[in-house]
Amino acid sequence: MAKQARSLRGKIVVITGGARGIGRATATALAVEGAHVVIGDLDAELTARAAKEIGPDVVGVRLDVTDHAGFTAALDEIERDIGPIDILINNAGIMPVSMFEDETPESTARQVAVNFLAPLHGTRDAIGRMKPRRRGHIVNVASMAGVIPTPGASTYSATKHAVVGLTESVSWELRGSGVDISCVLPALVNTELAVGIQRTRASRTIEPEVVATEIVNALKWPKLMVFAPKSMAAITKWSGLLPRAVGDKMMTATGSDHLLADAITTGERADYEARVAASTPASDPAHP
Amino acid sequence: MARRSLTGTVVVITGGARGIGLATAHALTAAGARVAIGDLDGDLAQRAAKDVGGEALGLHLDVTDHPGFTAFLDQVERELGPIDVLVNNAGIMPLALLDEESDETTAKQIAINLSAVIHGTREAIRRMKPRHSGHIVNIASVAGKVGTAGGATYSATKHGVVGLCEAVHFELRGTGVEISCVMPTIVRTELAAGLKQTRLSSQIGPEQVADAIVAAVRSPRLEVWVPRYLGTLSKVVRVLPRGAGEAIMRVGGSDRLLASAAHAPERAEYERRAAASAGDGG
Repeated sequence: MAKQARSLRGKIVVITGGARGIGRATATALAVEGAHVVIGDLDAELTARAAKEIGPDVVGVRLDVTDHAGFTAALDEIERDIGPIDILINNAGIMPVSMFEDETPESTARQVAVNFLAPLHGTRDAIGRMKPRRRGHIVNVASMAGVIPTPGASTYSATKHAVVGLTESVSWELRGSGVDISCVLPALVNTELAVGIQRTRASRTIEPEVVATEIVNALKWPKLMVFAPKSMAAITKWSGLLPRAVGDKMMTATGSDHLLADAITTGERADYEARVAASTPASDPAHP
Repeated sequence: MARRSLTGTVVVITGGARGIGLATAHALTAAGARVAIGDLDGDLAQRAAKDVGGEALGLHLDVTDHPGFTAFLDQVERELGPIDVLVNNAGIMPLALLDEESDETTAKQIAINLSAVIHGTREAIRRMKPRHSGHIVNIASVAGKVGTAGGATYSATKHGVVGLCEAVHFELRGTGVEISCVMPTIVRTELAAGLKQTRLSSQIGPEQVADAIVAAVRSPRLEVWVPRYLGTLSKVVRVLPRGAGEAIMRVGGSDRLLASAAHAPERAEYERRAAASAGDGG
């Protein structure tokens, strides 16, 4: 940490799912740092509007991360129009909430496509661009659900665990290449994704700006695992030493064992769940 | 908790014609279970069933064909009775650096190692929950707990299985249905062809994993490490500063283990078969 902070001025940054929530907060924070920010999002109009609101030099492009060829083409276009991408932030993600056995095959497929396969594609694509230049930074936004049990969102949790495993593995492969990779593990963030989920002792929501700040710090002082809030790092580490039965009791005592499950039937989530269900045209066999 | 008897229980094992699956079929049959072996290679599955003996059933199964997977489970229930134990074992491990892996290889690993396990787990819960009994055993890997260079997608899919089991475990509390996640180190099967033995990765036999599975079905628990000490090791490494953990990986040779085997000639045949496995991902 004693190392000098990397400057983000003039850096070309692409953020998927950048029109809302964590993506948007991160775009804002990076624009303040002087980076050239490009946000990609599914909704073209919303993306253009968000870009304009975030800052005068921010660019908005329509992006469906589950359309891999389209994802790659969008990155090509950005490199042609603006320059070599320095930082790719794979942020787009969805969290439909349900009991595991009630989840539809379509919802499962959508989560695997958006939350896992898309960041994998983005990571591979970015490595291909950055490795020959011997610089660059890939940031994959996972979740605390990628390291702790998350009943009520089992598939979501599986996809986020997968992103953690992917990022950790790739960090070994990238040693000495000049390219960095980070995995961001936010707690429950106050965005649309978390609507209708009760606040419990162990799960106060944090604001997206807290995550954005941690991402900016990780870009300045590269590190692999980025917890938001930071306190989660120690909790995750040390709770692993507890016998399983004690860990299970902690989950129950803090209400974490039914936190998401309780939100399944709340009317407040209806809007989000509906939007998410319509979110991946490219991976949806009904809309080729 | 009293040890559960396996006599007469109906057990389904995916990818059961070879490796860990086959060893598990033998061990469970020896313990009195009636075993159904599903495998992509239907002939091999039948031969394996005959070899295992008892009432063992051998059937063709492509786990990435979800309706076909469901139909296979229906057939087993028709022929042997309600499924007591489902072992989601089918898996592939093609090796490559992530930027050298093809899209097809990525998709295949996700379809077989993760999506099929999700489907199998859900199917089993729907069958077992109304009966208030049953046990789902998902075969993950130590690579589901630590990152592995040269097997990034594999490791990611296995992390996914671990995360799935952890979450579903909580959803199943009080239902009478159990779930276990098995995390073996490198096992001497075709999947590990060409992998060197390093200080931290002495290979074990598939029988050792099979024995651990039998023990877990008898006395259910979520995490099943094989060998057992890896569970302790993983907890200790987690509280070390990251640098120390990485140093252990390097000194142990674990950091390059898979990557260095990616092009080993001993792996050529396995890599070919893995590449040809499954339909097109379903």
